[in-house]
Amino acid sequence: MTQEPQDRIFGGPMSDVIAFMPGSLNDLPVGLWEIIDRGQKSFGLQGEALANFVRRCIYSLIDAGAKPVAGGNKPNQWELQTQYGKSKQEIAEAVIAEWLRQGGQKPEPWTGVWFGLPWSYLPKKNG
Amino acid sequence: MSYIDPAAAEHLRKRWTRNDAYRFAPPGSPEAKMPGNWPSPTALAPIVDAPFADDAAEREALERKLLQLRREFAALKLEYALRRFQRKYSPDQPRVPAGNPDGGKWTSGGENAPKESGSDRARSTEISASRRNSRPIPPLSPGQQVRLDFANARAQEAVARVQQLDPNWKSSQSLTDPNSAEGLIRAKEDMTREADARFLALSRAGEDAPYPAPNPRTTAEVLAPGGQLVGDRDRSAGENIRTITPDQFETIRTALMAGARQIEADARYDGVWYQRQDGTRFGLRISSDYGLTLDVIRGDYYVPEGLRFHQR
Repeated sequence: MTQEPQDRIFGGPMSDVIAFMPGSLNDLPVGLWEIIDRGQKSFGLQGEALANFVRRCIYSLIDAGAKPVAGGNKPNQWELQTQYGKSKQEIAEAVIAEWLRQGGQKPEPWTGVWFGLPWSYLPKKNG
Repeated sequence: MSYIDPAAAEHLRKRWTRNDAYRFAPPGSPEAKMPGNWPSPTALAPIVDAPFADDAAEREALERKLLQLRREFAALKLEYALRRFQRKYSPDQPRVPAGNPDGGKWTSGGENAPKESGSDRARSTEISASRRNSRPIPPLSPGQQVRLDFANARAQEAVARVQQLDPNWKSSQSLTDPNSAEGLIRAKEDMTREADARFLALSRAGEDAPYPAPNPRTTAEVLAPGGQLVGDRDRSAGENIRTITPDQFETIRTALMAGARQIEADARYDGVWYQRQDGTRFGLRISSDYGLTLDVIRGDYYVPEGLRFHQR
């Protein structure tokens, strides 16, 4: 029998939440603020356990083709963030380190680093 | 005809017959049998099922699930038939003009169009007259009918939503004259897009004062009445991405607007944000894939941030 934590709000195991997280990337990038809120509310995670959940989510998103992006100053304008590294391990550790440096609090909604597919950060073709 | 030794003929037949020729033989004929001593697929079934044969409980559970799926499918079929029945007998519903093979039949094209005021009726009559002169729309396939029903429902809700803010607004798509079923569906989808864009533009220019409501329900009560989240899970995404009907979307939107106040949205958000009396925030934006979408920007204990509602 599995000992995986179950989602308090929606039900289902944590591995499902992580596996399905990239499913919404076609519509919008996924923000770190969403990931942290999900870990706290759905699984009651804190500290190292929360960091580990964030790490697994980032791996899942990067495995699906997402890269770190940040919102520009206009709607639907995303900029690729290369300073976090190249491999998923590098990126996850750099993102988590930055989040912890900032106090380990949940970022304000719609702020901070996101993870987006190329459609979000590649230049749009005109016409 | 020259004589060929039967052994030579057999040799030639084998030489020029492809190895998988049995696949092209008529089913049931001796030639259709696979060479070699292979059992038939039906004979294999008990072997394949053998590991599960003992697990009667698992089988029963599977059968129950299958039955439940069948019941749900039957219920969906019934709901769809009822919706078509209701539409069929709508007094406002147009008919296929005389002279067409389906002349006089009820048609779904435009039955959900917004109701016209008296001043617009004359223009509408002109359009109808021009349509009578144009090429008739061929009969819709069942798939197109379903898509048109959905597109109609969304267009109707989208136009009604705009007309709450601007009662005189009309979509420019109502003036187009689609000549094909696909054109008709596209016209409805364009109408929805146009109405959604107009709605957001009007909402941005709206007042900052809260929308009046005596006892607004909490966000959790609206989005998860009885602890059950509204809508269905998007098949490709997690539970936090929900798909709802246009009706449900409108019900949720109006319930959340009760007592809500428009606030400044983040510069990166392509839409409007509202703050509710319970401190939660939600946003309305246009998704390129799903049209008007509702996002939970700031949730509460039961409503996670990033929860999203798309329309079906």
